[in-house]
Amino acid sequence: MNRAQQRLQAALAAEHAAVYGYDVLGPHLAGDEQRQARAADEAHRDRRDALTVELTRLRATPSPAAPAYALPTKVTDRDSALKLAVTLEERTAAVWGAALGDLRAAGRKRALDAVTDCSVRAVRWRRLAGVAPATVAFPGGS
Amino acid sequence: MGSETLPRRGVLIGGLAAAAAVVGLAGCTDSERAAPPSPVLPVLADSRSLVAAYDAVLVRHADLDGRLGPLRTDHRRHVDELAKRLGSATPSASGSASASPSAPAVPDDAEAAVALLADAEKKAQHNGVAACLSAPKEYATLFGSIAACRATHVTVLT
Repeated sequence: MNRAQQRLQAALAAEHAAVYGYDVLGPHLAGDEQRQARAADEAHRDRRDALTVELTRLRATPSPAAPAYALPTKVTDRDSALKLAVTLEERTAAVWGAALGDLRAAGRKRALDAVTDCSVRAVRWRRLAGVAPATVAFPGGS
Repeated sequence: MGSETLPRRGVLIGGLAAAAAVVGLAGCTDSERAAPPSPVLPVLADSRSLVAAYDAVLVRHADLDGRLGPLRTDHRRHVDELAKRLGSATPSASGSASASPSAPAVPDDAEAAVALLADAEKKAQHNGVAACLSAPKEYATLFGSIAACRATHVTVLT
């Protein structure tokens, strides 16, 4: 497996974990926040599916999802749900960000779209959670 | 290092494109050496212009500091990091990124001023995406991160 494929596998693992995390945190949100969580969940599922297709096309075996993922924080209420959502997006952005240099052309474009989407969602969650400042200087950076 | 001078008067928000153009051209006309211009230069020029644009708005609308200050800080950090990557080989880079005489002044209306910043962020994000996609491997993550940061600023400002 070459470097680019390793990066895509890492991104796939991050997307699996994000999907798992949103399934855990979603029920602790309500109303518009829950709708946003559902939309974020779908976005991560779409990226996961696209990665599975891409890795297969590259004749690599896409890593399957683990049955469960260790979550950095216990989710018990809205606050902890928002906190996890921030973490999921920031971590996923970082994995995609690290992949940029090893990808080229359309592959890099897809990775950058992912960095941007995750970073924007992270900021939305940070604002909802009342985290200040809402932005970070190097989202998806190391 | 970075000269963080507040622009004195009539400071200009729309300088982004102009500044980028200046730097872009500098690669062809100004360079005395045969070495190609660093891919850092246009990204740095946009970050410097954004800092100047926020400064200009904050001079006029000091009450926006709570909202805009942290965003300005992000750009400041981009400038610092990019300048560090650029190294000390091209001290003239900062000079070429500043002046932009034809840019519009800061509007009296605070929301209009914020909208101008949002517009400048969008343009800079667009430029940052292009810079990331054409960047050598070692700059891809940094440029991508800066482009993504600018995108998050658009989210906060609009």
